[in-house]
Amino acid sequence: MEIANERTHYCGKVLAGLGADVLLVEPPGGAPTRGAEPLDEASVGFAYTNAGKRSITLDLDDPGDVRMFRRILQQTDILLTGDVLPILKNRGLTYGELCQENESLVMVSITPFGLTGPLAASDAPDLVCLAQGGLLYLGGYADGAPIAPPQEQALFAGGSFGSVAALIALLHAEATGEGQLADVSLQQCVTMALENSVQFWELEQHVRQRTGGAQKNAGTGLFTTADGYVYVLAAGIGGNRFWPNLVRWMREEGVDGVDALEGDRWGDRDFIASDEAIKTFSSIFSVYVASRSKNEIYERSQHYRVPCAPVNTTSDVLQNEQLRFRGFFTEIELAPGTVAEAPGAPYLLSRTPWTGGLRAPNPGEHTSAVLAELAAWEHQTAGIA
Amino acid sequence: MTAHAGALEGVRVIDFCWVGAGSFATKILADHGADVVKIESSAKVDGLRLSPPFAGRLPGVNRSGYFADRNSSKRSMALNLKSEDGRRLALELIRDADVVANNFTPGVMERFGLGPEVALGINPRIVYLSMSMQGSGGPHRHHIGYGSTMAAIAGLHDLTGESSRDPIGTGTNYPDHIPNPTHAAIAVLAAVRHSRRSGHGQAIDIAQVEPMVSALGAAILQSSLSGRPQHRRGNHHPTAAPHNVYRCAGEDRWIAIATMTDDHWSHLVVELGLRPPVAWASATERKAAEAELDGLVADAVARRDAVQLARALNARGVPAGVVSTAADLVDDPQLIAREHWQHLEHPEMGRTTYASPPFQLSATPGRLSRPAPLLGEHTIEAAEQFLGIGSDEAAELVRCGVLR
Repeated sequence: MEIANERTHYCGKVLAGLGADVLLVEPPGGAPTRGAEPLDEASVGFAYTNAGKRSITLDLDDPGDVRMFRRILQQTDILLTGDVLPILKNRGLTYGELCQENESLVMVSITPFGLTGPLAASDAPDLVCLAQGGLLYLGGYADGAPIAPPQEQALFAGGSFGSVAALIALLHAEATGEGQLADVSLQQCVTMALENSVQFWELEQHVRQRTGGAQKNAGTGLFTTADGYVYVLAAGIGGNRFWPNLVRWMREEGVDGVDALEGDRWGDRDFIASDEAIKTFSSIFSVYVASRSKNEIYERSQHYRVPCAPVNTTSDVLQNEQLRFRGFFTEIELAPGTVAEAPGAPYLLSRTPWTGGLRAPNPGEHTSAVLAELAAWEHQTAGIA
Repeated sequence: MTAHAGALEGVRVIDFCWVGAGSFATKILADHGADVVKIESSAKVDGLRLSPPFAGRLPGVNRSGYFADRNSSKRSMALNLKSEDGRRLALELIRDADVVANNFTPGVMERFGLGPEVALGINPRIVYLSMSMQGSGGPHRHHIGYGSTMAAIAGLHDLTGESSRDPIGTGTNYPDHIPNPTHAAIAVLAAVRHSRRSGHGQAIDIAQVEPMVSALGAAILQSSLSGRPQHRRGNHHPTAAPHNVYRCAGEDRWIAIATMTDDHWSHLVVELGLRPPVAWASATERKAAEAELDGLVADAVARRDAVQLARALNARGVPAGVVSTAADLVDDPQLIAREHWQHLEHPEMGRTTYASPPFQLSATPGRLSRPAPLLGEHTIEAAEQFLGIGSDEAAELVRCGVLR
């Protein structure tokens, strides 16, 4: 069961994709996330994250509906909630209360700051979670304000780590009969994306800064092609494994000035971060790429084994031949007759393939079916007892 | 309720992963009790071991803070897969394992004779994770890259930045840290469950570009619907305004303010002492006048202290937060209360900081059971434990270059 919330939707989607029967619990009138922008014939984000689920209408502020919710909970393996602590308490939906209905219940709570600590009662939208988790500070132009990543990545991070937590707890529950609470903090999830920033501060007393629009090191950064951009990470991460490949590439293409890229100094961390190194590399490479297309550069770079990629737009992504070859995209129906493509299986499992649904349920579409299943289950259990 | 250290106790992972995303995926398993044996090469050292920052700024294969944070709770076994005996020993390790993981380009494990068919042939219940950049098949399967180049391929880079300027991405190798380690762990855990229930293992094929694209699902779907590319829009929201980051007093201090409702707006007006046009009570009007609105807010907060202002706005119910630096985060009261930062004693690096898993499990909390291993620290120990090799024989294998 998933109590519909912007923070739970991706987690529920992951579980549905693994074959779980995910029941979206919506208030009368439907979940507020059904109105989330961008809207086409329906909310695009809602359609993407809720395809393949079933929907039941329950008013969790109504005692009668809460009793029904608790009855369904008795045959539920995993409960997903995104509500902050005061709301859980007001509704009587804390783990301490719910585990009395079902001692093997796994409850996954995904909130901005977690259910403990001084901010346990605080709500916060995506941008604030990205700020307080530290990822926002690392993005942006070297000469400007911090800029957040797109598409609500704090919510995505919470849904992704929430799915990991759900499965770890489910394995334990199935092995021992013991359920538990998985308390996911979006702020903590976001800190996972800080790369080596915390260690840079601790070990070298250096606060990593924004570098957008500038080359971080020689051979690392964005370059303008005839039709867009490529992003290159010529040396690789750790040492300069790929640098000789780059030099060979430039030499075989007859690029002017390539001799300047030879020598041991290109493996020196301080040198490649210097203005001299950055300018030297840039003056050679930017001229070479400027007259070619991003896909031509991509093809050449991979031929010479240099880590480099085209900066694809969303339209480029939809046309990407590799993703097409793998059958990555799946159809989503926003409304009858309105079908478009969206990301499909994020992993290919050889025996238990991903199962994506075509569309999100209508509000309460499965209420009567679920209640009938519940009655049948209770009848059967009473018979056994 | 009995407290167990980790729900994955008894799950053995033979981990050929290196660099970023793969190592982080198996770290998640290790921190929850799985016995993760990291198979390393002394000849071709994991790039993260060579990657800054280093303790005391002194490079060394056992001194990288980046490597350490991604490899807590694991053991390291140095095994030379270029030697026939090394490959034979690797097969023996796989024979009794629950999970085997790698993030090489396709074909590398097969060339070692350690591909999924071989592994499933000798151990039908094993979960075999491959997570290359582009997946095991297709025209780009041999391509190489890192998180930041995958972000470019997947559309993340282009969608990040101001609409009027070049795209900038996140400033990090983002796919390595959130989309890929989580989705690899999800797939492995689901397959472990299936293996427990059915006795059947399986192969998992992840193209690391794909979880990254999945993280942009709504933008891709919207692009497919409209037939046009989606555009970057700085920190702006499709409907809410003001929704941005504003400079405060001090050196590079910023506050994020997300005015999601008209109520938030009216409280923001009071706290900042603004005198806005009456029409701005409506979100539509505010969105239409966004540039002007941003200027007004920026002026009003420029001399305010970011921490105090965020507190004052939160007290009025307005979503706002300081844009924290890494230095801020190690002292963040909420993260400290959640015991997010752990301090482990490392033989070469001394006491160093590691991140906990970003979720707390009440019955099986998991823990960082040991600091990152030294290169090959557990070679002999693992050989004795898993391969039934005595210490003399192990020492001989070290001498002839099989275990190293």
